[in-house]
Amino acid sequence: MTKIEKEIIIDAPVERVWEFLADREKLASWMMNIEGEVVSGETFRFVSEPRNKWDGVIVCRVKEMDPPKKFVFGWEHNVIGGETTVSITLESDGNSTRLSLVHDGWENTTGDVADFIAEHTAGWDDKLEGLKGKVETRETV
Amino acid sequence: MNLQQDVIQLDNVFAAMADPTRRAIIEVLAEGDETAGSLAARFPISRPAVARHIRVLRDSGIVIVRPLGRERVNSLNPRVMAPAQEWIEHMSRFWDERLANLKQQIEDGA
Repeated sequence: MTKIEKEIIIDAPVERVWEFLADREKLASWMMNIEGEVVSGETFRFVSEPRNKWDGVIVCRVKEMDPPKKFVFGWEHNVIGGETTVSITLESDGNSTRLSLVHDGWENTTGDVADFIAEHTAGWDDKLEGLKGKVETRETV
Repeated sequence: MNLQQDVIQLDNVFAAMADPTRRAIIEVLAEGDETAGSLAARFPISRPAVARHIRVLRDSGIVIVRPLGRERVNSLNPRVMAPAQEWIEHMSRFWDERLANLKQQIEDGA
């Protein structure tokens, strides 16, 4: 319970999945709007609606980009108060891709995350409705 | 629910997590209660060193200890861990949703 680990299988080759990590527009299509460049050594920002004490921005320092296998970036915002780390690893599995995600570094949390939760959950429900609509009308990226 | 109390307890939890051994102890206890001896057996560091970490966790209220027969077992204190666990679960659900969205975008768009 000190870190988050996820794994999914995507029915597409690893190079195709990598595009959705490394290409700014494709990354934004399943995450959030992006400001800045998604490039090794740079910092980009996910931008969303401010909620409660959160200013709506997630600062992501790109730590590692190793195409098409590994993408590691920092995840920091004003409520967390410190930098956590998201590591995404891709592995070929026949014609499919196994994507593993680890989100850790929560010991760097210095902020008040407790009362952020209730507000934030409501925001994501709205966002998911919007995304669901976009995907179902087959908008191309 | 006392929000001020929750903020203080959350600070305790995240501060405890600043040490990798204590993070590991928390992970073990999240799976089930253990004696100090069985916890110590899991680590390459000395038993007194593990005991010191357990004491830090007890002093901050994260771990509670109770007698069980002739032994004493350590467990995570749900009242202290609940807000931190809620936060981690919130972010866990966030990633479930994002990754499901990614999978759908790629597979349906192909």
